[in-house]
Amino acid sequence: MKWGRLRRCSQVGFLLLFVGLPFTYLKGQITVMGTLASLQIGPISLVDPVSGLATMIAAQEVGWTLFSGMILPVLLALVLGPVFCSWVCPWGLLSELLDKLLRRKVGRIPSWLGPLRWSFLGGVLLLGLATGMPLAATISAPRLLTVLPMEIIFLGGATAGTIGLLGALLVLEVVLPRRLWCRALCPVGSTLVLLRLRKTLTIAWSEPTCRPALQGAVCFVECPWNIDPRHMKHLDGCTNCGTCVEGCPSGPSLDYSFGRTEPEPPSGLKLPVIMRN
Amino acid sequence: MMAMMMARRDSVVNRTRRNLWSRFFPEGLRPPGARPENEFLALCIKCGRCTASCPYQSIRQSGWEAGLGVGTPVIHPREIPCYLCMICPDVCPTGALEPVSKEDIDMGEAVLDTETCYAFLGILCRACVDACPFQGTAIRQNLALEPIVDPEFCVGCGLCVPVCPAEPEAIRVIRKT
Repeated sequence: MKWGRLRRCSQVGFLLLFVGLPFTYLKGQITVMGTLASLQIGPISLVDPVSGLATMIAAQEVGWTLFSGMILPVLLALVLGPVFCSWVCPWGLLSELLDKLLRRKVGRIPSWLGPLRWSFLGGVLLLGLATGMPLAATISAPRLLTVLPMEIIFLGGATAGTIGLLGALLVLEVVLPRRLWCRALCPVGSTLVLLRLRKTLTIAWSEPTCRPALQGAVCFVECPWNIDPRHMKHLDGCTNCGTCVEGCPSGPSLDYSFGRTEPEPPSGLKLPVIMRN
Repeated sequence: MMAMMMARRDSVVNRTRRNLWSRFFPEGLRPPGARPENEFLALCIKCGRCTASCPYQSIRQSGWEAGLGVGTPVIHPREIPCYLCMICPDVCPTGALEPVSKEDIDMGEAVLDTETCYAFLGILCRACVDACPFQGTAIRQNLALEPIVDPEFCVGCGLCVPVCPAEPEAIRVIRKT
């Protein structure tokens, strides 16, 4: 399955959607309307989970309109994982483009990545509580990148706020280690990663068929998120982009699967597994 | 005539003061149905749906003058006022804007500068009175044909602002905080 091409089509498709929508606003079309912070499709309202959460924390109240809008995006993340990051978000597309342009190198996932992710998300939400504003929504890269075309096309000019925030993010993207914003700092992504359950769609690795010695660990080298899919931990931040599945040279060694059977520690009570397959 | 000259000279001071004021605190109004300012800032996720839904492009995104509220929606009546079409309160996904009836909107309050208003200078003008959607209650004329704003009925839409022939406008809308 050409997951890579399919995913690129999806990313570009969403980008085109949000560039095209403002033109339709000029004609008075508002049935499908919004940005990646909140999107209205006919009667369905979708709200970015972390923006909604930040709002609930800042305002210290839970409104039904807001809560109902968060249900579908949260369900999507619970079932398919943080696919938003790799299949939808235009910042992800930009970031992957920069990977190619800057020839950014793969490194092992640092041990501080997880703690950094959770403390940054917590910090932003707490700062939002202190200032009484949903700051996580303010610095959301997908929001900024989809608000920008609306400002330019519909209002006739980008605002200093959007350009300034996007510029700052771009500087961080270039200065910080490869894709650190996406992997650890973006509140949108961190929240979606947190929604991963045991039965959420993931990448399963079957060791017996894996032959990394032949061509090197292609899956790890090609992963846009610096994750080694063979030794993935639950909240490593895999977004189910499928790059490793498509790139795996040893056939069905890596594949999408709902839930993963964790390698069980040897136990004297169970029969020794000798006759695999 | 002399009195008019005096009034004009006064207005230079006035104008400077007003220009300075609007430089530092742009008279951006929140869209109709907005919750009180602190609640609005807490609820608004800057998704831009109210901006996109406005058929008059009245709603803009605020810049850095709004501080951490950067990107929140504002209406600048001097550019494009609010035409009270009441579309935007219904599209807000977070409840920062709540559905409200036209009469209960409270975006701000029109304030008249009696030193530059033509009617107060003795020139026949009722541009603001005619532009007001609540003509007769929010803005009415007194016996001297001067416009009077009634804060109780004024919703702050700002439709009176761009039609004012005085330079700069003798009527402006002060945001409710």
